[in-house]
Amino acid sequence: MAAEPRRGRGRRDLTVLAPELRPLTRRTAALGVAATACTLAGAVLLAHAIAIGVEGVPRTDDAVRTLGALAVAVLLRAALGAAAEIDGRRTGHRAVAALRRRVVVMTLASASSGAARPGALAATSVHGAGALADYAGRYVPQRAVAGVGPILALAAVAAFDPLSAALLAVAVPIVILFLALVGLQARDAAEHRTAALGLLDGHLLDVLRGLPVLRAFGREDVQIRQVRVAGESYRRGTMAVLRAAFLSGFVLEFVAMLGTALVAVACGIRLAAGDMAFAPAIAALVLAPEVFAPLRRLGAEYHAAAEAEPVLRALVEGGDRDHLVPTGEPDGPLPDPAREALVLRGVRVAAPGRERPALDGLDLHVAAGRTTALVGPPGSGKTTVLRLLAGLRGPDGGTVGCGDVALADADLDGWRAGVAWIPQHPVLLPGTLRENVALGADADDAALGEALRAVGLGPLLRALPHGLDTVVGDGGLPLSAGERRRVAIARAIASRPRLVLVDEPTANLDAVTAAGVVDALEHLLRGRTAVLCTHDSAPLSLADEVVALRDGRRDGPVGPVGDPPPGLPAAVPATAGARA
Amino acid sequence: MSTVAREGTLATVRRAVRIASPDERRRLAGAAALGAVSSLAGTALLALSGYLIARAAEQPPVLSLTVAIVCVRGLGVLRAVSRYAERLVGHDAVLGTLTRLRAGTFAALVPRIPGAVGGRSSAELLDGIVADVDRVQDVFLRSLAPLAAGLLVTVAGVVAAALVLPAAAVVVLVVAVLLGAVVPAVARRAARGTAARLAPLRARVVRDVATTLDAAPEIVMSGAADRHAERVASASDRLTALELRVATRDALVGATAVAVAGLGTVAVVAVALLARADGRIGPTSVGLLALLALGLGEALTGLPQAARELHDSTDAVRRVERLAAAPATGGAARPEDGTGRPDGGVVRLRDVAVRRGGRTVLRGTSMTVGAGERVALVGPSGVGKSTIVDLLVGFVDPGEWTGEASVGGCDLRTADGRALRRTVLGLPQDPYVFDASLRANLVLARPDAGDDELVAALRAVGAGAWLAGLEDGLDTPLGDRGARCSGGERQRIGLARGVLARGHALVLLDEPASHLPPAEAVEALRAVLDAVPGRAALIVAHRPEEAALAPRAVTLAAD
Repeated sequence: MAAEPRRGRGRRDLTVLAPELRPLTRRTAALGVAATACTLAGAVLLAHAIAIGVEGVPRTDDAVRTLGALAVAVLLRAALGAAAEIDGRRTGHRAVAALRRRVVVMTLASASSGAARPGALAATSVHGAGALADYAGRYVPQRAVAGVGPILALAAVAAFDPLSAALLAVAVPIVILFLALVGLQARDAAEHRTAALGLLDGHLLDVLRGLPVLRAFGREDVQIRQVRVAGESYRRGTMAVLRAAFLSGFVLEFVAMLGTALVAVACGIRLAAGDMAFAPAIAALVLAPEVFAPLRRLGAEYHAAAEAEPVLRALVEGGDRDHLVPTGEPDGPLPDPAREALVLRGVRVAAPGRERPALDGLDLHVAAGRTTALVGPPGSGKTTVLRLLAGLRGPDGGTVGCGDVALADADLDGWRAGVAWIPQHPVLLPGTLRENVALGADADDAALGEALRAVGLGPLLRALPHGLDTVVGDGGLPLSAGERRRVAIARAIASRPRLVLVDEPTANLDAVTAAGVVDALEHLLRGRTAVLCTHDSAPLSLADEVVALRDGRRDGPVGPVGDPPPGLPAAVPATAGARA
Repeated sequence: MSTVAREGTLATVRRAVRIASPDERRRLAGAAALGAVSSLAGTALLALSGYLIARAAEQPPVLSLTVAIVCVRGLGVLRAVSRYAERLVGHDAVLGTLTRLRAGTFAALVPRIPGAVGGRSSAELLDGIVADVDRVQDVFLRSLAPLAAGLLVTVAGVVAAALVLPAAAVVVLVVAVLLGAVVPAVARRAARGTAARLAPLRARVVRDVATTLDAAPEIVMSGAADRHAERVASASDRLTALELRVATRDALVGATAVAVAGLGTVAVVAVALLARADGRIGPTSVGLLALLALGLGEALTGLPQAARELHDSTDAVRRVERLAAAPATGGAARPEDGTGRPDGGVVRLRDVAVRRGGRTVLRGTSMTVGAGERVALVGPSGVGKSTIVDLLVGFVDPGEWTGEASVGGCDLRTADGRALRRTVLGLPQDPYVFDASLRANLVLARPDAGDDELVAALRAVGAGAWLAGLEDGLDTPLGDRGARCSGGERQRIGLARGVLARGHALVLLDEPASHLPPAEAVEALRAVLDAVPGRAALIVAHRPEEAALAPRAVTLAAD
């Protein structure tokens, strides 16, 4: 029947993951317990009201007093329950907001790029708030109530009728035993269902996204059948788990009912025999279900914790960064890469989670005022070199310097302000064309217009009715891949940099567009110190020197233009490459 | 006030119920009945206990209590058993319905992807649709079943109370109406507006955070990090403030339900005590009415939540329906519906122009590809090369294009899409890689291919070294959307599919090797071209050496 309950995870206390939840969840729990105390007080008052009516003709003042107090208890309970839930939910939402802020701040502080799935993490940072609010607003108070509620209720029963309390005290351990089973069961069931449903959803999403491929190969009908088969097997597996969970739930409810019935019979017999007054009997009877109720409700809230945990985990991990952008020495020297050469000596950069370091003892000399191209296969460490030169991270071994100043000792804020960075996939920030080109630089419209014309976007700018005020990117004017790169180049021109770093400027562009981008780059790079990474041949016409990298080291000699290292075809004859 | 919305909801519920098969509907109705029986038994159990204990206080002969005692026990067992049965029957039926709805939704989406559906891009749409399909089950489990049980318990409670004391019945009825109709209506009114503001604000924050994760180095280098962080924080703070308001409101609605149910009990006890003071009812009736009220309060507290679920989950039903019924962009018949079958892969386009979303994406173009011929298609980005590829595999809606186009002598407007794609194979620039093994990702191109053929295909497109480095070889899982492959590896998988595929008279290469180093790209393309003798090819070329794979080139000019 029931599967073995899973061990080793213990209670779900998410405050271990996010300490900022801790003091507030304590308050939420206290409010929940206070609400339960009101429930018990209400039960006692209700019992008293019934006793007034049963034991004789009720006296008006007594009845009014009792019912008035009962109404107050009901309202207090509702108010405290709401307060607990509001308090918990606010905690949950605030925690997610804080973690979201941390993800943003840490990402910027480390200038990290290439998060595995930025969209998914961003979505979790927003849509995961509901799950955490449920956890903090419902599960946390219920957990506290389940610990304290039964004891309070037992004490209340004992005050009226010790025998009933004793009977219930026997039933409670049995219920707790079943709760342990059911709780774990329900949790496992909820987890299993969530996991299976997640898989199923993932599968459906996967085939939906891949529909163009499936249709291209005529496999869509097979997939429709598979979606159905997967659903059926999910249903069978889920029902097996649910059956066990429901059965344990049934037993729990049954034992709780039996406990209450025992109290009713014990009280009834003594009442009928005249050994007991009515008032304590009805009080014991009304209070008895409250001994079990908190335990039963806890089982219903397990799923909230199960759903909140992965959200919290993803956000906490999303905010973890190994390497922060180094600060250098704020009062240190500020070398000028436009005049002095950049030098890398024996540079090592570790790559966490990989066997080989990203850079492994690299020596490099970048002459001032010249363009050096780094070529090599993906993963050879080209982008890492750019990050080092940009001052976005420091080396794990060796030195990176400009002239005779090591960047670690330089004023890095000032250094970065003089560097223009053109990434492989320039991103348009939500905003106007002006904001996107200026991006922090205090350039006037004339300078911005000139920069745009220099990269060949003059015609586009003229065609825009709102000119530089046109909103671009998501929700605004869509720009093509080539246009985005030109905007990034214009951005660099407008910032009048001392050093230009360019990452794969022509990747994924067609020949005509790539040629346009190369022309725009030429305008930017002329006379400037620049490092350009590429695995295309098109941008090599801009290079004064070409350095090949492989596995984080130099690969082959430095050569003049037109003498590319092995592995990089300068020009492939149209008829070459015949395959056996 | 909200009659229209209400009717809309009811009509949607009727349609949602029709998603279930007759058998499932019977079982769902059975589950709702069992749930109602369980609630009823629970309430009756309490009322009868109240009667029993009050009667015992009158010290009758113990034997006269036996019937009531047996009934109490019976009701207790009935409550537990029927609750268990309800859960089993209800979940089983609803999971069956859900399975069918998933498959049905998928089938309905097949002819619409790729392409925009109902004006939404497919990525945006797909994320929502899966969640919406899951949500449909709540119509049954979380709203209809508890509402049905609530209705039955109310009726039974009113009747029982009326038999003892009519005034108490009136109180019960008022409480039920408050909880079942008034509180949910007020809650919905209060919620109007916030939902409309929440969605765009959430979308904005998701986008801002994603931009940060995407572009952190650029933002830092431009010195705009602080400004950007502030921007994100201000939108994020507004979102949090709104979410806090919504959370507070929801908790207050819950508290109102608890308060109304509790005060209802107080009111019932009050009228019972009044009647007792007047001598209209005896002591046992007081016990019965008080505990009946307590039981009803417990049974009805969940009504506002159920009513709200009904509203929310029918929204999901409507979204699923809208999607399944939405005309694919143009609204005209899809090529899917045609009957024409191409005979061979000869392509003739005469003055074909394509407009999508109000924008011309292909100007009047004429071209031909002869039987077994290889033709390169060149021209700058955005000139419509990929659009021609989409058109030739039937992924452009007939309402979106003008001119004359035929494949294998068959007019594309009347072609059967499946038959067309058995003749023409399109290989895209970004081939989708499924979250499955490498083998599964390849055999979809040729289901009967053996492992040796798969390996040979991978080697032919230059993925031999990559394959050799994979510990699990063809069984290697490739991850969500091929996350464990680089862009180049994904393209090689797409190209290997092109090598494996059989039976096509024409292959369209839409820059499928653009992420590969030039020499390897040419070699991989050549492998696809040579895989099937006599297969014609249209090569959307990216680099001159790729265009050189075809003896003839068609150039699309920007103007």
